[in-house]
Amino acid sequence: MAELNEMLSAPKADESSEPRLDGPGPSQMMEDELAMPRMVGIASVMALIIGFVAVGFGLQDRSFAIGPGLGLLFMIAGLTGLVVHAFMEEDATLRLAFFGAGVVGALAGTGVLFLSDWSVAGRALGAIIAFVALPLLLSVARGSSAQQPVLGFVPRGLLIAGIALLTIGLAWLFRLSERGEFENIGLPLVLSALGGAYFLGVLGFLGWESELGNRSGWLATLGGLAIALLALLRSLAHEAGWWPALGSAYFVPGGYLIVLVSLLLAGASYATVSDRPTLVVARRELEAFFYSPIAYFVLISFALATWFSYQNFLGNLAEGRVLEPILNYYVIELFLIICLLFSVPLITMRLLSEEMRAGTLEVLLTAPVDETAVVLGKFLAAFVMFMSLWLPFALYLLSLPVAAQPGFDFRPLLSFAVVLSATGAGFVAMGLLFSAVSSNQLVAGALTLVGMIGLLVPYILQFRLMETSGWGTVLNHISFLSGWESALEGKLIPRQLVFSLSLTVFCLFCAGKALESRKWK
Amino acid sequence: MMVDIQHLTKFFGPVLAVSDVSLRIEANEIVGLLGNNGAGKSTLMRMLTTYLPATSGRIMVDGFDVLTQSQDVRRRIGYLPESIPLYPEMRVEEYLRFRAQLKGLQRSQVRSRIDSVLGRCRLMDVRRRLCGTLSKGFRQRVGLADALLADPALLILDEPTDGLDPGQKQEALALLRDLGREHTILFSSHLLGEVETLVSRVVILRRGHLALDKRIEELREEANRERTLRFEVRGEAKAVEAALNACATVDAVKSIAYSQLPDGWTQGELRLPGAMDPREELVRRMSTAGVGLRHIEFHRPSLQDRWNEINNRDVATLRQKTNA
Repeated sequence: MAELNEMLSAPKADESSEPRLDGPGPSQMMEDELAMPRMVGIASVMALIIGFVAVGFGLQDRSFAIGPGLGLLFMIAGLTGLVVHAFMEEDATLRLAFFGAGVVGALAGTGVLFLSDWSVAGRALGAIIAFVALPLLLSVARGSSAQQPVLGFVPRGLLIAGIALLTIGLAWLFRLSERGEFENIGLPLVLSALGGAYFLGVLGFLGWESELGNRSGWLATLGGLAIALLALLRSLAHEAGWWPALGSAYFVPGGYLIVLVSLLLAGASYATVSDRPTLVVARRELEAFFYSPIAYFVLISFALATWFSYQNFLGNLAEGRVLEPILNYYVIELFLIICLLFSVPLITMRLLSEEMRAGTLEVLLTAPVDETAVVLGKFLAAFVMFMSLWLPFALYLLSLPVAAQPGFDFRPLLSFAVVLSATGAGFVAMGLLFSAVSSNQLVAGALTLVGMIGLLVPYILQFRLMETSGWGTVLNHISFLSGWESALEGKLIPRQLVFSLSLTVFCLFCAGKALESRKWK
Repeated sequence: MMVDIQHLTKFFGPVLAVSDVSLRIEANEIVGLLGNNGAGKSTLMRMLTTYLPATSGRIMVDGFDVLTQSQDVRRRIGYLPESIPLYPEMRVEEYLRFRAQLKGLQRSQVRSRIDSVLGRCRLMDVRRRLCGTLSKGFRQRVGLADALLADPALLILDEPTDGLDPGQKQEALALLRDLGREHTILFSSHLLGEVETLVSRVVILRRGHLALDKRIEELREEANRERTLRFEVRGEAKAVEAALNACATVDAVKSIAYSQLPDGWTQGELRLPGAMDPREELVRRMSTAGVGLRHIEFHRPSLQDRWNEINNRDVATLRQKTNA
């Protein structure tokens, strides 16, 4: 009884009165251990040294355990691993070492380019090292913020370096065009590419929010547009005869290349810093591509297919059984075309299907953003992705003059680039349309594949029909491969571009309508 | 007035999802939208956010028509759909930065706005996490952070507390209460209990029709007016009735609903007018009369009861009622 009294009169135990405001938190984030990146770093340095030695021996025609080609592969693997390590390293001394290596690499690599008594191969190696130096230098600048103003000079310095290289490259191109001397056009192009890579790389690194990035981006946009306009006017002046240059043509290839480089610079800078919803969507979409394994799969398999084509091309060249246009043997190759047929659906199938499936389209379209901006933005991202597939193609061709002097007549590639862009735009737009009408990625991909095959059919049929009826000519204008063939001969025939461009506009329009149509269901 | 919905109807083909709903929401109100699954809550919200157009009717948000001035409307709302769609490959911070760019925030403001919503929604710890790795509660908070980014006047939240554990629910409700001071909030929920504590207005949809639209104070007054006295007795019926007759009107006693309990006791419910409180007297009379009395309490109809009542009515009656 007494116990009962006690219990009844005892004060109520305080059962953890107020809920802890933090609540049960998220799972712990363990700091990444540095052992792994450091092992990668050590392995990379070893690979780099082995590869460097192999290439060096190969250049001097001395034998080594591994051939120069494999040595190059080792070097590239080593450089990649080094960059990965650089971005994950925390130790201040090592980071300083990377910074030093980056500076040495950038200066030495760029300097080597100017040494004309070095072989082309050696200078190409210098260019590669200068390119790789960029991420090494940026890895040090990462983590720099208002609290670390000291490292702020790295992005600034790199921006200036980029602009400097671009200026030298473009000025050189202008000079070559005036004089009509194009044998050494490779070097100013490489310098411009290097400068552009540095500038755009830093711009991307700084991001959309940075004031410095914003100002530099706008400067580059306006500057690029101005230079392109200048080159165009100069070409016009030459063609019209008001102010003839020394060579026979100004626009091809000098003026064209200047316009291309400056427009690419202007476009890429604008795309990185712009506020426009189209470009916001495009930027995110491009990032998202590279977060998925499909992008790498497509890039690598297309690179392999191109390499295969290239080997066949070299084989044909060596045996001398080629007719003009030579590049046909490189591009119009079965394996490459098949790879292209599959690559386009893989790039475009997830563009809108994924958004519809995951429900993110709902929040995308309830933000103050037009359907048009969404469609155009995704189209731009997919188009950039498509064009980047052809980068190995261009690089393999660059290795031709490296392997065997003299160079080759690259001017058909200029027209090919235009036609490729037009047909690529058509492919991507078609893929985007199919992605917009199906919320299932696989269905969209399959439809796009069928579409691609359908676009290939006119090429096959046109030869049969050419003799019997006028349909053959029609098919010739529709078939994209015929367009490629004439482009590789150096001709740019607008008739053959009309179909691709109309297809692009039509498919984009329909994709926009497909998005809007959900409203009226 | 913040939101003005006039005779809103939505057909999905032959299916009538929303039928002639008219609703007004004033600034800084917190409105709870209730209804069974399929009642039309999400559809209504989607029409408000300009994602779907109505079949007929009109919606004005802050003076802008949802159909013809949809961009202006979108700039003034923050929307969190039920499925909380996030891009799984992006980090929380990156996602919010993307959304900020999309919503047209000034470059100089973006960093501070993101920090502010991350703090408000308690996401500081997970700002570098991939969205695909977040649990439901955190995904909800990220979605809410996204809705708050542009500091919109109107927040439209579709089931913001659905699927959260009790601790997270408390937090979410507290956050909504806090947000309600500066924003107008329309949110849908299944949990009537939590809605009662939070909202200033209750709207109930049933099968696409507007079944109830009352301020919370009105509901409480009505509940008070309709309160009943519940008791459990055992003993002679006459004695019970005599005691009751002494405390309440004859009509009230006659209309008592009795039900038999399994252990032999009888439960009764007496409807009492106004502020009468006969409990003490009833107990005294019953114990004097030898009647066993073991439980006596006031019962006010809760929102749950209103809800049951509405859902048990058939739709035809509802239509009549709203047209009346």
